[in-house]
Amino acid sequence: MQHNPDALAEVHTRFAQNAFSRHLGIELVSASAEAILLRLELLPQHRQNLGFAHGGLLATLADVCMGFAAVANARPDSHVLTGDLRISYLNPATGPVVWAKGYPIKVGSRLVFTEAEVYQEAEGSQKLLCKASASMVVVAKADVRR
Amino acid sequence: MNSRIVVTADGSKTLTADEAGTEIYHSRHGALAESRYVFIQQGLQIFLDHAGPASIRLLEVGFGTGLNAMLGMQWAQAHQIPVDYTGLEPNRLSIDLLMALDYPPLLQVPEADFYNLHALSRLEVPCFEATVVTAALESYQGQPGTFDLVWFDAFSPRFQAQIWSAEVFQQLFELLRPGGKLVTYSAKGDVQRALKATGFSLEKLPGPPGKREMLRATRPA
Repeated sequence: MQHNPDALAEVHTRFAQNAFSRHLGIELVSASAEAILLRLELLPQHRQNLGFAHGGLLATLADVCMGFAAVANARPDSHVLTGDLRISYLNPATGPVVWAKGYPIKVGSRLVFTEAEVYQEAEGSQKLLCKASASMVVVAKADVRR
Repeated sequence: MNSRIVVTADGSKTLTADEAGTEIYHSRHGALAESRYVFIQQGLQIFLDHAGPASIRLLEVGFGTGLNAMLGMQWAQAHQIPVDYTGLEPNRLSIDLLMALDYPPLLQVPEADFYNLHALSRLEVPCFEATVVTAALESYQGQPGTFDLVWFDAFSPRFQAQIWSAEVFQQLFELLRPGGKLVTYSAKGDVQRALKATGFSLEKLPGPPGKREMLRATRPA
């Protein structure tokens, strides 16, 4: 896989600027062209009625992870937007910490196909909470209308 | 089991492996010093001293924190000798413990290499291809006679006696090529007897800080 230092610097810059991730408390553990690793400490406001992490939160974590996996591989003069996202929930998330890995499956000039898995530690092993896939759309910065 | 961080004598960190904190992942006399001495200096380095193979197939029993693997990567890149590493580990560590160990800045290795090896169980960087298998040695089906070197870095014989048995060493004997080496930090009498019973020839070497001796075993050519 091609390592583009500019793209990785872009990941760190954009992650720091991402207000929604910051609001939720998502932390960037490491970034490379191969994978993005994120960590999130579950807080009371992240949980649904039964006390598990809300499914939408885990989908967000997977989405952010896959989005930055695409940024790490996309052209520096581009933005990345989620085109579609599919997620399978396998186990309830109880915490206290969940972490996610997102990685590219196929990198194209217009689309980056990605996958992510979200885990928590449970009795010395890693429990898979959900698995997601997404198509990330690569858009030239000049073409993004705000 | 809730592992805790322990700062060892050389300032490098390691983890407790039992609730009481009596068993830890590395030597209290220096986690980094022990790994560098036992596995690099008395392990990989001998391939430089004795014109070894052009590339090295390495098996580690007890991937654990990944400290040895990262040192192996540094060695391979410094000497431009390709190392094909396989690490076995039944109990994978949580992301929080890995972050608390703080190894990338200590070792001056790229953060992503350390975390990717743990999270993806695979790392491909110049001169170092690594795979981590989430399994104990008993269930590992490696190709016999192909490894040049085994790093035997299991928990201590006092803590996990069954891993230091003649049956386990027999499996490693068969995985090593003739002339292949096994290094370990323990030089206990029971360990020496089990290795000899398997057919290894033994060298007792001066130990790392805090230990009198360590062992290097060779599968006869």
